[in-house]
This record gives sequence, C-alpha cells and structure tokens, in this order.
Amino acid sequence: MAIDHFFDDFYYVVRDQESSVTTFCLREAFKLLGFALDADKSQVPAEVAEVLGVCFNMQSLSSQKILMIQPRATRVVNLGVIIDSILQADAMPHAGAASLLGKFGFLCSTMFGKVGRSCTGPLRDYLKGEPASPLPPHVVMTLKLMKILVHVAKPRKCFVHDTRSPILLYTDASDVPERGCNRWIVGAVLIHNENLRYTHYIVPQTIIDRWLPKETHMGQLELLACPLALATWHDLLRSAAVLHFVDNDSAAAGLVRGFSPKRDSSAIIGDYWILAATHEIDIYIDRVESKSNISDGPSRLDFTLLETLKGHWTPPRIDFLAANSFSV
Amino acid sequence: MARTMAGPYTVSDMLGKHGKFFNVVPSFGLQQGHAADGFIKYRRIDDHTASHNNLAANSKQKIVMAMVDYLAALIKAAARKTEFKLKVGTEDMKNAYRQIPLADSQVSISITAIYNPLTREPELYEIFG
Repeated sequence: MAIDHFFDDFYYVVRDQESSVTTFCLREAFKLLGFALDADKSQVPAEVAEVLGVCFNMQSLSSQKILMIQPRATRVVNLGVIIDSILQADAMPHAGAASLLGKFGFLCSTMFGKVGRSCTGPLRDYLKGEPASPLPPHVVMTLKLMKILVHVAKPRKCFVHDTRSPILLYTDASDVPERGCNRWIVGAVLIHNENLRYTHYIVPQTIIDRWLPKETHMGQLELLACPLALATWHDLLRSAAVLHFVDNDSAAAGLVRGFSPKRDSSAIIGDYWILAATHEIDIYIDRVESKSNISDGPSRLDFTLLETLKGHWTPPRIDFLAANSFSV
Repeated sequence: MARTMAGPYTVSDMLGKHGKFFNVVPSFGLQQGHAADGFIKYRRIDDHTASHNNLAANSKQKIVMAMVDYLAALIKAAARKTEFKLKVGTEDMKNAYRQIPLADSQVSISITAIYNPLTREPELYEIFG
C-alpha cells in the first residue's frame, strides 16, 4: 500500500486482491492511534475514485497503462451554478471573480493540456478595475465559455510507460517591413522518424488587423506559428508525444501558462490548446536558441537548408483561423 | 471521542479562568460550493490571523502539500511495479483537526466566540483541538 494525505484527507493506492484487508488494517491503525474516521466520507478502494475533488479512473491502467484524470461531476455542476448566479445578477464582486478564477483554474488542471485557460483574460482584467453592473459583454462571454469548456473538455491522460518516441516540432516567425506584401511570415519544421517536413505561411494583413494595434506583432506571429503547425500536421501528431521548441521566451511562457495578459495573444494560445486537446497531442514546450532553430529558414522564405536535408514541404492548414475559437 | 470544546462562558468567566490576557479568535463561514441538496455549503474557519495568533507563531518546517499531481505520480509509480489491477481508497478524519490536541498553554489564546441573538450576548468557548 502507498499512502499519503492532504491535511486531513488520506488516500492510498492498493492492489485489487489486497484492498479489503489493507483497508481493515489502515482503519485499525487509525483506531490504535486514537483518531476517529468519518465513515460517511471514507471511500472503499475502487478503480474509479474521487479524491480532492478529482476523479481518478484506473480502468485502463492494467490493460493500456493509461490513467485518466478528470474533474468530479459535482465540481463542474457547482461551477455552473456559480456562473449562472453571476449572470443572473449581472454583477460580480471582486472576491467572486477571484474565487471563480481559482475554481476554474483547478478544474483546468484536470483537463487535457492547458485548454480553457486563455479565456480567463477578461476576468483577470476585470479584477484590475472597479466591479461593474451590468457586466461588460466580453466578461459575460468569458463566463459562458468557461461553463461550456468544463463540460466538453477531455480528461487528462497519463501514460504509465510512455514508449512513444517524441516528435520534434520547431516554430518561428519573422517581420521584415522591407519584404512588402511578404512582410509577416511564420514557419514550422517537424521531425518524425527521421523524416523532415516543413511549412510556412505568409500572414495577410486581414489577420494582422485582428490583433491589437502596435508597431510590431512579433509576439503574436511567434505564437501563430504554433497552432498553425498543429493544424497542418494534426494527422501525424494525433495522440503523439511532442517536444515543441520555440525561440521566443514570451511566446513559450504564454503557451506553458495557457494564457497571456494580452488578449490577442491569449486568443492564439487558446487555439493552440484547443487543437492539442482535439487531437490529444501530449506537448512539452521548451526554449531553443534562435541559431539552433531549424524553422528560422522557412519563416524567412529561405528553404536552402531544408531542401539540402531532403525535407518535404507541407501546405499550411489555416482553417482554425476561420473558427477563431478563443477571440473573446 | 472526548469533547473538543467547552462552554458557553461569559467574558467574566474567562477572565476568572485565564486572566486578562485571554484572546478571542473570531471565525467566519467559507462558502464551499453546493451540497447535493442544492444548499450552499459553508465551512467554519477559525481566523487566527484576525486574532494575531499567527503573528506570534513561527514555523521551522515547510509543509509539502501532497495534492492531485502527487496522487497521480503515486498511481503511476505503483502501476510500473505490478501487472495487477490497482484501486484507490480514501479515509477522512472526523472533524478534521479538532482531533489534534491543542497544548494546554495555548487554550487561553484560542478562545472562540459567537453572538447569541436570543440573549443578545456573546458566548465564549474553549477549544481543545
């Protein structure tokens, strides 16, 4: 038996055939130490167990070596009740908004990837100003989106023996005004089973116009390369382990966090994690030095190195841009 | 289980028993979602920050929180060691830390109080755990 606790909540992992006797011994041990247990809250060992508000599903553990983690149903219901009461009142005190952010963040931690976190931006902004009534439209949309997300998001999957060879993904972007109508370009390189694939996308003005006005959009471009790569190679990436290398610290940190303080960046990060969750892509994001980023070439329309390495060009898929799922 | 509180007492009772330096710890209700019947759930919290007890306390040990990720790691580690089915069980301590005894010397600074709307007077209680 392996046992630990979170304050007064004790949990233990046990083999099926020893679960009854282990439970008996554990309860007797508490009794010997003089501690009373709450019989109403205790759960006998089960393959689907709820611990600390989280559901651990071990039904696929022995056969497929997969542990599924998802929010407890009542937590999802409770979040919906809180959101409904806020929407009905059309007002939200700061304490309520902070509490909601905490609850939603906890639920997100049990969902696939960082899906959903990007939609918390308007709530974080709301906390910086005075409480408003009626609520601003983008806050109302955020609240509705939160409610939908916790219902549709997939559970988190944990592999016990991860024998998958990771696919390497590099992304990059460039903004060179002298290139005229080719000013903004994003590029990506995918290395899988020694096969090298690359893509690039010349970003049109219409996409740039969606973002907040500023002198340079490098941060958003670096981010845009990321969902574009997932969308372009989603067939290859489905259920794969991926090492995603980014040479821009801000973009990498935003992807890891799952949101950005900048609303336009947050929308792109939202698309990235929605694609990852949709195709169940297990991603680890890390920084790569700019000089070692092999996707620098395609992001500058320079394909010399990739052609020398016998890389294959893949047309970029940009259909996710039309959906624009997280622009709130 | 032995009682974890004693009272109600009046202020003069407490002055007589613990002297003029006894300290009252206020409490508040923390909303914790909804119960299965739809009613809002509240947990009573003793506010040792408001009573300034926390200012007088010092911790020499960092408490590592074994939360959800820890249990996931525990299950994965166990699954690597066996081909048998695994199960998870839980035990909850009745009344939580009310079972952990308070040192006798600390009882006088952890008196809690509630307002009795019928008598319109505060009621004071000693807490032993």
